Amino acid sequence: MTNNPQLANQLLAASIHEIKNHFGLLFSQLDHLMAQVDLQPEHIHSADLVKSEADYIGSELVRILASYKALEGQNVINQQQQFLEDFLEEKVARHANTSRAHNLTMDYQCHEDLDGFFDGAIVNIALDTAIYNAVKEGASQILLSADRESEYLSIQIHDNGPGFPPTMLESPIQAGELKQDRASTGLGLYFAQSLISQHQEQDKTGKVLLQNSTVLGGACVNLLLPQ
Amino acid sequence: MALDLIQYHKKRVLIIEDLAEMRSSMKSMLGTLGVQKIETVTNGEEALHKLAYNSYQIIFSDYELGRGKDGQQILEEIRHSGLIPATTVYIMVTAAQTVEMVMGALEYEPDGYIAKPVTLDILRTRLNRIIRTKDVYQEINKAIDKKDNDGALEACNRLAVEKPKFAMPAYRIKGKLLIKENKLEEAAEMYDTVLGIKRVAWAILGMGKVKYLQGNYKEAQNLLEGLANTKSQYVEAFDWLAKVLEAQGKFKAAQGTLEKAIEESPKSILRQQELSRLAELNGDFESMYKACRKASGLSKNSVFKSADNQIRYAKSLQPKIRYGSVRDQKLSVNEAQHVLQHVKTDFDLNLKQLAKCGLVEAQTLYNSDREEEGRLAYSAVQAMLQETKGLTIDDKLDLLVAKLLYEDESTARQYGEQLLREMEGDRRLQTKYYLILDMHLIDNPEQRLQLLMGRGKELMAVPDYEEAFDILSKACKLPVVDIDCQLETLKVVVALYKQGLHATQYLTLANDLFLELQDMDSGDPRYPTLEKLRLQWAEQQENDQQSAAG
Repeated sequence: MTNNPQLANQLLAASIHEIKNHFGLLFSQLDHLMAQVDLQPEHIHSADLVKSEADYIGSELVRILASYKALEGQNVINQQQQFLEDFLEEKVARHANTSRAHNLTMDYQCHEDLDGFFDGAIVNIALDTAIYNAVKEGASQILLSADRESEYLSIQIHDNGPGFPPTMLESPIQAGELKQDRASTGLGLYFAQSLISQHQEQDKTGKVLLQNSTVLGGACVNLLLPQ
Repeated sequence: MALDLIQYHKKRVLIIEDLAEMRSSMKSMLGTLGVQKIETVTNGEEALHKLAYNSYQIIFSDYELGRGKDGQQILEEIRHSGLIPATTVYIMVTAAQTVEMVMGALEYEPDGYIAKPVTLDILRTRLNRIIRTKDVYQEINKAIDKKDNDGALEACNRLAVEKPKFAMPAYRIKGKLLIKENKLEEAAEMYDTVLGIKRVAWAILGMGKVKYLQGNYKEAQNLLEGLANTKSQYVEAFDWLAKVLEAQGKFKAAQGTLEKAIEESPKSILRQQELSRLAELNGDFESMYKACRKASGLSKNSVFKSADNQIRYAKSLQPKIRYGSVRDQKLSVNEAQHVLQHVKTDFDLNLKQLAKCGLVEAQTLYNSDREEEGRLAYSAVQAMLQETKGLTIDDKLDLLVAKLLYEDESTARQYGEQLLREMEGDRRLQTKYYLILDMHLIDNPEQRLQLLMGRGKELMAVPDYEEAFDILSKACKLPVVDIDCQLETLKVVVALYKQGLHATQYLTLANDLFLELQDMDSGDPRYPTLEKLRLQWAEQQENDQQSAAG
């Protein structure tokens, strides 16, 4: 066989797409099956963990595919008006399994009339990345909040974990973080950043800021979307 | 508003879902929420049937429904035909990865979507939200259901003022209503305001439609092309772009545009019907056949079922019936007769449709060695046509095809020439006309050569070298081809290359022709022409090599 990295990439992408679809089916069957079974109290937590892990794998596959498309340059931003209250409410509901499995309190906070223009699928991926990072770091509280910051819409993911180390707070997010201990964290945020930066409005570009949370004391990932 | 205010026990729900497990799981979850009246169907046909006789407040439809209609098509069909009132909540249940596709529909958008896997938490949250949002538009939807357009417009304005959060969606509805009322100036003004705030896709589409309806095709084309190129998921942009191109006489480009849309979404009946109509106008039997067939299959039990499409379907089979292999002929005759039989029983045809049907029938019979029966059908058509008004030249060309079969050659040809004059230089119609004659003369190569040469020269004078090449290269394949024709073809190829239009087929044919003509006697009066062409051709090749190297 000839050396064809492009074809190899396509093969992987197509295969991941398939896995994702079948995984979705598998998960909905599993969910359905579990609902039929009367679990002993000591097994409920295991079941929650299974569901939560399944959610994680699902969102990871969605993230990989979107990142792949972005790297290939074939991503098209689909900006639509979004109502933040709906959007965040759905996000929290979608993480019901994560919350149960990890004893998390997850909540959202924003003005009921707040709206913004962005690609819902892409922002969902960035939110998932930040939420799973927080879980990985052992946070027990997560707050999603949104607000207008001059010409940007800011969506923040606060947690009460250990927060970012100073080196990460100071420098822009780089893929180079891969080699360090916090490998997966850095890489995930790097891709989130490249996805978010596809939002453009005149001379302004979407960005991801890493901050310390003044609300919960841990990390704060701040998605800034130009409006 | 408190969540528990939604009175689920009063709601009647329909679930459209092909997987039994999913159906029962949705049912039990909705039961937990308090819904008492739940009905389920497994596909689009059943859903349409149910909806025709029952009313529901909430409809859940799976997006992917196996081989039949998908959720989007069901939605289009029931909204288009008014099978459900505007106040009904239509929710698409979809895999996470197709959410974007679902929400990318600009004209017929569901009220909301729920991404799979659906858990009770998710269902409760999403359903509450979707119903409460739908309530925001209740006044507008009630007015729409009462066909009170002014009332609906007023309600849109009120909503935009009272709840600025919903101003954009309110304007979106308002735009559609204004276009429906043909208040184009007002619609344009409104879209302009919206686009000044944000270049949202629906407003670009809306503005494109308005410009098209106002006859401002250039601007419409710009807007819609932009939308079609940047957001390939907005298939409707292609539909309207095709209309705009057609209105400007760019029939081939219009067909190409629809073909692109069909690649994206092949299941839309109306789009396939449009494609078959355009392919017919372009005399493109191959595409016409494919689109008609697809539309015919998809529209069984559909409100979009169309007699015109079925008649076109039978017509598109004629080249196969006449020139195909024995097997093809047999199959196509059966197919055409089956279609024609059904079109007469399934539809209440008008006189013009009956006449067109008769013409295709007469052709089918003639081509399957049942000339006498065909002649009867043809005379019936003639009687009908005397009373049919408003025949287009396209219709008359259909008549010409039958005349060439059933009337004496000179009468038919005279009719054809009269049509040619009526066309007043319309290129699309001329192309169709020559295609008809070319097919008619298939067994008469000398006359064919004459016809193609004449047309080829005309096209060179236009000039349209590409079409001239299509015509002349056909002539070059005839056993009776002569040197004059070959020289004309070479002229066309040289002209094409001079314009920078390159193609392997041009190159191959030119090389073949030079080779065939290499023994021409230098005393032949045409020899200087050949030499001149050879020189020009060599020059072109040299230029191309240089530019390729540079």
